[in-house]
This record gives sequence, C-alpha cells and structure tokens, in this order.
Amino acid sequence: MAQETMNLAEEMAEVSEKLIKGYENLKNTGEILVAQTPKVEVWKRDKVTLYHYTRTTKPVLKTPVLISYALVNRQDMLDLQPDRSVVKNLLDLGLDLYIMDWGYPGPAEKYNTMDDYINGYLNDAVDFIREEQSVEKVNLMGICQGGTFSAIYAAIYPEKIKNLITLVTPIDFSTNDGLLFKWAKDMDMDTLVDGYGTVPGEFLNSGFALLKPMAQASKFQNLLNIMGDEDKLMNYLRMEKWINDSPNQAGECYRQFMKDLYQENKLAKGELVVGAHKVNLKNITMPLLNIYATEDNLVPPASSIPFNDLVGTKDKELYKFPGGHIGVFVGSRTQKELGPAIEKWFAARDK
Amino acid sequence: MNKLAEFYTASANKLANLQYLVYTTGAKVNEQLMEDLANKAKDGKADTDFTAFYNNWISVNGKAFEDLFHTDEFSKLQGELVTLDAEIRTNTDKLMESALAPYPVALKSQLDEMYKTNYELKKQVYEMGKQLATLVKNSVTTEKATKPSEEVVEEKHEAKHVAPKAAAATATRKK
Repeated sequence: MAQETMNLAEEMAEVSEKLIKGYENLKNTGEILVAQTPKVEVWKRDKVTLYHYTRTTKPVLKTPVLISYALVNRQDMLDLQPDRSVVKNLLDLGLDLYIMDWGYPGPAEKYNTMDDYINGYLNDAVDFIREEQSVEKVNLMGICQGGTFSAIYAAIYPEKIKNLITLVTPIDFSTNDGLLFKWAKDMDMDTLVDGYGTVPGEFLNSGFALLKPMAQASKFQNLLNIMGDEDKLMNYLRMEKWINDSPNQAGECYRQFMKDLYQENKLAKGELVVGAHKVNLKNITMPLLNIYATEDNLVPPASSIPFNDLVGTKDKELYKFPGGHIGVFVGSRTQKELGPAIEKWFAARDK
Repeated sequence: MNKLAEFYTASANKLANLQYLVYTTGAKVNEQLMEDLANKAKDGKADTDFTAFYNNWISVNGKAFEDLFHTDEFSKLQGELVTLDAEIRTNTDKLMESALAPYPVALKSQLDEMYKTNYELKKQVYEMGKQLATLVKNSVTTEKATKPSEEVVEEKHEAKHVAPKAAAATATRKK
C-alpha cells in the first residue's frame, strides 16, 4: 500500500512537471506553419489554384508531375514540415512538381459537380502544364479521393497522361471493410445535400473521428507526455492544424461521389458517367503504380487493390506500404523508402 | 411548423436510441474491466501505475466501440439521425424564411437562385472561352497555310498569348 501511494505521488509530481513545461512551450508557440516548401501560383480559376514548386536545380526527369489531393482535406499533409515532407523529398530527388489546391468551397460553390472538378479544373490544370512545359503528357499522382479523380481523369484522357500513381485510393467501393464504406451505404445523400447545400467539413471530420473512437483519449494522454518537448509539441500541433482544416464539400460533387461510388460502386462496375464521359477504367493504358497502406482504416486495402485488375495497362504495379492512411505521408519510412521508390518508378518510364 | 416538430421528436428518439447503444456498450466494458482488475489484484498482478491502467482502458473500450460501430444497427440508426438532422435544417430554413419574408433582407432561397445563375453563367463563359480559343488556333493554322512564313510566325506568337486567355476567360495565368 505504501509503495502504491508512493507511485501515485510520483506520478502526480511527474504530471505536474510535464504540465508546467508544456504550458511554457505552448506560451511561446507562435503561428503553426505548414506547407512551407516554396511554390508559385501559376494558374487559378474560381477557388481552384495550381501551384508549381520552386526548384533551384534542373529537374532530373523531363515529365512534370501533377499531384491531386483529396477534396475532403488539405494537400498540406504532403508538406507538413520540412523533415516530414513528401513534396520536399520528391523535389530533392529531382522531380518537377505541380499541385492542385481545390480551395475552400462556400455556398456559391454548392452547384460544382464532379464534371466541373475533373473535366473542368483538373483538365485545365493538365492542359496548362502541357502547354507551359511543351510536353504532350504529364505524370499524374493522385491521393485518396484525389486518386479516384485521377483514375477517372486518366480513363477519360489517356492521351494526356504518361504515368499514373495512385496512393491510398478508393476504387472498388463494394467493400464494407472500412466504417466509412459501411456507413455511407446507410445514408440518404439527397436529403443530406439538399439540407446542407455545401456539406460542412466538420460533419465529415466528426465521422473520421469515430473511426478510431478512443484515439482522441489516447491522443490527449500522449500530448501530456510530449508537450515538454518543443519539437514534438510542434509536430503534434501541425498535425492537429491539418486535421481540423477540413474544407466544406461542394454539394453536387459530394452527392455524385457518395451515391455513384460509395453506394453504387459505379466506377468499378464501369457504369460511372462524369459529364459527357462514360468512364471505362480499361482505357487506363499508361503505366500504373498503385500504392496502398496495410493498416488504412479510411481507405481499406480491399478498396484499392482491385484497381490493378480493372485497368487496361500491362505495366502495373501494386505497392504495399506498412502503416495507416496518414502514416504513408508523415512516417520516417516514407522519406527513406516511398519517395525514392516513386522517383525510381517515374524515372524508369520517362523516355 | 408541425413537420419541423415531428422531425425534432423523431430525431430526439433516434438520438436516445443511439445514446442507449453507446451507454450499454460502455457500461458492459467497464464492468468487464473492473472484473479483470479485481482478478489481477487477486493474483497480485494489478497495474502499478495509472498509465498501464489507462492504456488498457483505452484498448478495451476502443475494441468494443469499433465493434459497435460496425453493426448494422448502429449504421442504420446513425444514417437515420443524419437524415433527420438534414430535414430539420431544411425545414428550419423554410420557417426562418417565412418569418423574414416581410423584411428587406435577402433570403437563403433567393441567394441559392443567384448562386445557380452565377454557376450557369460562369460555365457558359468558360465554354465560350474554350470555343474562342479553338477558333483562334484554327484560324492561325489556316492562315499559316496561306501566308508567307514571316507573317505567320508573328501571328502565331500573338495567338499563343490570345488563345489561352480566351480559353480561360475566368482563369488567370500567373507566371
């Protein structure tokens, strides 16, 4: 009993010390900066912007790469901080990078459709790069929902895409492995979109938070342990900033994405129509690298893996990355392993 | 008004059902945890620090709630609740509009109409810009075939700058 009392007293003293140090660090915390790799705005239409990352040396590969991230979160995840930046890593490896910024849709963007995003903004951005760089084709790298958009785009415009990389991308929505996939099937998307117009980012975030219900509790416990260390605290705050920076979703785009893909799996079935185009994944005849995360609870492997069986290309590779949906981008392994693997794969197909 | 009240009642009902599911799951887990704790203590293997206890609490609760969230019952209930919330929102907006109608303020439905018109007009301008760009490009190609080379080079240079601007009438190029 005496020993236990001693333990309790020690623990309380330790916690108090951590809190004091953490308070001091929090007090000195300035603005939480993310996405600091230098880039230049080169094209903009409505709220969508295309950025070109600044290079100090000539790129190693002649084909530029366009990165398309999901609409549901910000692309800053790829550049959270210099030592955990997929973007910086790829730039250092010699790639010439562009990135789509889908912006923050407000009430005025509620009528934007998947057609607008894919056949409009994404297509215009690709055309801009082709013209700017005087190349016929660009490399397209799509992430999560941005990967789904990229796959759809590559199937509609195969003549403009040299190589396609998809990262943690949902393609086959028939699975119920992930909670989002299950829950989406029980939701009345029409009533939801009609009610909200633009679907609030907070609504989506509340769903993401439920995927790992106790993660919040362990996160705060962990915060107590790291808040005395300034670097670790800043890592934590950058991640929190990203998590809570969820743009609203243009209603009509969200409606089609949820109904046609999550509920009816039309993309995998070959029944999806985007604008004037029926999407046939067999038209994806360019090389494909499909990267999925083994522990991904947002986009389960069962949703990503079947992509390789649905495309028309023979040059296709499935890359298994150990970790979760976010770990793919911020883990130390990403910098050492994934970045070089992506560069190597592009380089082998840059003739 | 009646409709809105019905949606509120139905939503409160569903929320109570959902909370019951969450509560019973939590209660069962806590009971199990306490039993395990008592058994550990009996065997002299009780957690000696709070962190070990807390981690175990998180892990057991996490598993139980994930299992609950995977059930059809939870998923359907959550779906119904989301639908009812959206209905409440729609009907509240209608009610607010009828209350605000006599006043000189822009109503949400009127703004929506304007957003829609704006969206359609922007799309039209965009399409026309694209068509214009194609026309400019084609006319340069046609003239190239009929004019001396020096003039064509000059006009081609001009078109290179005109065509993209026309294509993206609402877009801006910033390089």
